[in-house]
Amino acid sequence: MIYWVLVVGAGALVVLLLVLRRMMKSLATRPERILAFLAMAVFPALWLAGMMSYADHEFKKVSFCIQCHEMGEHGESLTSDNDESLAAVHFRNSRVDRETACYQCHTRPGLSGLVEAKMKGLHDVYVYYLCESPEELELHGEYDTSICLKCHGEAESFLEGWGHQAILEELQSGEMSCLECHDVAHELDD
Amino acid sequence: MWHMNWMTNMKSMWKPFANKPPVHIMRCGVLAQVLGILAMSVMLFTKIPLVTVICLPAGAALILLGCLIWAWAVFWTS
Repeated sequence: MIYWVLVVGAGALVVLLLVLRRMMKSLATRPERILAFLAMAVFPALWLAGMMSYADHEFKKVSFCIQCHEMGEHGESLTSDNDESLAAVHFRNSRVDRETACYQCHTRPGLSGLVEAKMKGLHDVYVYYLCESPEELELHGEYDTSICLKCHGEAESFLEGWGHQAILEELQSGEMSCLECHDVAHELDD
Repeated sequence: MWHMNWMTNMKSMWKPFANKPPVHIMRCGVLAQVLGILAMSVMLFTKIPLVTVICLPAGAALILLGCLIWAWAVFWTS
């Protein structure tokens, strides 16, 4: 729906801009100028805001992340039958939004996490198109436990079950990573 | 006295709706906006990472530049 609103909006704006371009010489009175300002500055700015919002949503999708062929295997691992694989268990059981699963589990919480994810994405695009991609993909640094804790942190099943209580402080402070025990993040063919 | 003259000059220069805005500048604004909308539309249709990285900032910058040119041309031209 939003996609078609933006497509129709783009067409309408271009037509409006071209029509106003022909009327420019007659912009002498105040109401004419205010109308022109609305058409030429406010509408494009609104369309741009809608476009940025749509792009932000669209580029969080799994389908966008797995466009680069290196990520194909990671995408396939989401539907793996292996119950040890964290990605598959979360994806198959809808424990994360299935449409944006990569983004949910690879972005730290908060605005800084969003900015960091965009910067990492830019770096990945740079490597993909301008450098030789590494044979084995690695995370940018250690996996941040706060990503797991943004959902599990206050869940009763996490706090009271599976021996988490003994290591809760280490997990919360980031001294210990969830991946030390749950070590199969994606099931990949070697 | 010089600062009074400067103030008077500034006031007359920044007076909204003082004169007709220069057409050639507004045409540049329109061109920037049309190019910006086209760049963003290419991104919308393709959704390819490389196209996105180039077209998203370039399109946004062109549209905003067009808006600024229009705001300036319509309200503050002397």
